[in-house]
Amino acid sequence: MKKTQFPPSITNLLLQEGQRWMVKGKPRTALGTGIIPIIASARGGKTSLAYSMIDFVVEHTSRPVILDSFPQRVIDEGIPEHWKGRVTNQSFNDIAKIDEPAVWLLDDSATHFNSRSAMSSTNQTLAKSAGVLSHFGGGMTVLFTTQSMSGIDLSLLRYTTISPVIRWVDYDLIPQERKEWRSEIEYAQYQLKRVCKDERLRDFFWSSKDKLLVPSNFPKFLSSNYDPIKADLLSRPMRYHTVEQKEVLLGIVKPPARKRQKKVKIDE
Amino acid sequence: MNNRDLQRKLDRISASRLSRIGEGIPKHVALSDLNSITLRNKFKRMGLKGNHIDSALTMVDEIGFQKILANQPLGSRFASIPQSKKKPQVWKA
Repeated sequence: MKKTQFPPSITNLLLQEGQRWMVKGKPRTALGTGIIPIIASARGGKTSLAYSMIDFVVEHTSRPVILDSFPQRVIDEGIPEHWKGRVTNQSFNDIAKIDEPAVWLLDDSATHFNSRSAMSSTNQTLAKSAGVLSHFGGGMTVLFTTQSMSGIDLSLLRYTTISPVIRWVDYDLIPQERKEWRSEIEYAQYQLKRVCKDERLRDFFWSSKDKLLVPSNFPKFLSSNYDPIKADLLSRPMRYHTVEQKEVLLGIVKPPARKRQKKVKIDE
Repeated sequence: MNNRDLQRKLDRISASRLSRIGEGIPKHVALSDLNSITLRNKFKRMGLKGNHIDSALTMVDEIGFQKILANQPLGSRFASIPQSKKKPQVWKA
């Protein structure tokens, strides 16, 4: 994968702070911190694009990659060989414990960081950390995938540098989008329809900040012809949570309370 | 959506419907003024034809179009200029 695989605004956030790369013959220095929201309807290629970005990070940087709340089975059996040792599975609540310039993937953010769960602990962590992402670990980048911006807590989009990516969105869902995003998503669909041959417009994506169409790079390891089990583990990771974990994610069951550590009284 | 956006949306809907009434109505009837029609009728009655007649009609039509466009926002006026369609901008790695 070339260092110029992605347009400047995305590369700017994927490379580590201070790393250099060339844009149209001129050197640029990466910011290395911010948020990349990826918007598409179900089976629109959000997760595969996020993996492609992670593949870029693994190849061109030394940044650690953290897959938020991914099932352990996906980490153990699903990720490609060259990712091993670079990719871990942690909750976004542990962000304060990470002292490296990590790249986080929050997959299916509408479930984890739903605006209806604004007061959940993870959502609060995200809201508070969005403004100081550049401080933690020397600058962190968050990739998140969602089917609609209207399901995302607004605080995620109010701070830091963002570089939104728009893919195919079902025509009937666009009227339900946030008014701030609706016209951009409509415009992206118009642009995608001009060049895409795939029925779900997956051969390109729209980089909102660069105002550019970008050809999709579908990672080989996601192809079902390559390894159908690994491909499915990565393509729909949430499927591989246990029933209990799925119920907690969907808010059907409350997460188990943390065991309080017993205070030990020191005998004098 | 503000009023200007709404107005443009209605304009686009109107324009798309206008062209679908039968075979559509001529541009000078849709967008120019009364002079464009009466002058055509006069020339027809007098049996006048030729390049000079076409030029006169074009001039009257254009004056009419300009009167209509004078009340439109700059964006609509600019959009009425013939222009080539931009090619999609694609990132080259």
